[in-house]
Amino acid sequence: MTVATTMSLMMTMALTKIAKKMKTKEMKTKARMKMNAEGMKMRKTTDQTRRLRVSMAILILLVLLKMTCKEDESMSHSCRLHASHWTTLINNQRFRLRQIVEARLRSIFEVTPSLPLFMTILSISGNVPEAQQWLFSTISQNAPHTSETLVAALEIFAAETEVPRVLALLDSYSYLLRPRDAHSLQLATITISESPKYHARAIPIIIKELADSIREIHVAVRSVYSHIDEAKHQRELVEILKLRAGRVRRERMEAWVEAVSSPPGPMHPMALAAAMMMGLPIPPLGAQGEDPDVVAMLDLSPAHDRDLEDLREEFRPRLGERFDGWRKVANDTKGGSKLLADAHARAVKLMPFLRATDAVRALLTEYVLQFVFCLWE
Amino acid sequence: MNMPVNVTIKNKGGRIVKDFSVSGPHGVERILLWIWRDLFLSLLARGLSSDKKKTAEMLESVEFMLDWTALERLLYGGKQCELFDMILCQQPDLLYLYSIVWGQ
Repeated sequence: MTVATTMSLMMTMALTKIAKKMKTKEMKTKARMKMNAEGMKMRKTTDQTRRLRVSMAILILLVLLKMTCKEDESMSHSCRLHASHWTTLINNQRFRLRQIVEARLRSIFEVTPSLPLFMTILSISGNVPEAQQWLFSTISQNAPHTSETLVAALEIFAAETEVPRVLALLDSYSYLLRPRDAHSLQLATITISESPKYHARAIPIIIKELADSIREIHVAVRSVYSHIDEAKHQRELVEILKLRAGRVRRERMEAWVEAVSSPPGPMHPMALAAAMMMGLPIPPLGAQGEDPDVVAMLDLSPAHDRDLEDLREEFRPRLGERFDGWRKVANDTKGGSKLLADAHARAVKLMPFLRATDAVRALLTEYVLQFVFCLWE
Repeated sequence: MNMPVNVTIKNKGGRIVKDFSVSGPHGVERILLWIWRDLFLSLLARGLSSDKKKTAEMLESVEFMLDWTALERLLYGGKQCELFDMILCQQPDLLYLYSIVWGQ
């Protein structure tokens, strides 16, 4: 046993030496090449060669790591799973411990998959190709089960730039995505738009999501200003917008805002949503005789109960955040600026007041006044 | 939250095996995970077969108290694995390269 140990120890040392030698040799040849290059007056190092060098260095690093760890597997030094005070007997057990941990993590992945868990299992696994295959097949199988698993699958395949798989999931199960999964869908869309082959498939997703976001913002606005879409008020707004800035315009604008406002009453959930969207303070609901559970649900502390997320979303749908995210995706996509122009045109058609900043400001002021009034009563 | 904690672990002969100097509860977690790893390995090396079977169960209670990320940290003696995290998390494309080199 001891002979074997010393043998393997010596082997390790010899291999490490060889590796070091290889490295120095390579460095020497690199230096020589550099000198040659300089001799040939090739002073400019292009980005490409630099990138190649970096990837070469990483490759060498990984090969070296692999060599040291292979030694390690046959019992010895310098591995991230290793502590120096262990005896060989103890040391040999760490692969078993790793197996047990991996098995446990895999069983968690089967139920609640996520991108971090995926990365962790791959990084600790002793057999990465097998693990990756298992993870991919498990997540593909479980993706259609719930919204959560679908989101995890999208994130994983997007991170691994498995664009065809991302597209297949979106084609078949996109109905599972909730508004709050917008961020994951945005990441997936960016991955699609960056792939040269499937780039065009990102466009319809962006168009649809921009339109959806605008429609939802419109609904939220209408819940606070219920008469805003009535023909006579629309006509009046057109007239006001023709006026030059001044007292007359301001007064008519204030009258218009008052006319389009919803009749006073307890705050509608969607009005609350609109408030949240615009970043306004919300009235203390308890004072209006609302269910205290609603207040608890809106609790903004980060340690909230995740089970209430769906309900919370209904009351606080982060419409602005979602729209902004899609705007950024469109900006980063080739041909996205045209989509944004179209979306802007549609938004202005739905909500003509967006054309004038003073109209938006008047609407917001009216909202704050109503809110203060609410508190008074 | 940043209270300094110093822990020295010695072997039977009094020789220092490990010297921790950490700050705050998170640091203590790291020490505990380090101890857990040694306990698990000793159990697997010298424990009764009935005890060995309980390893998975005990790991689950560690996971229950902390979370699943603690299991990974446990493998590395409480530490995050910096090098691999750096390569893999910042460059997911390298996963492929890594699997070619590592796997076989």
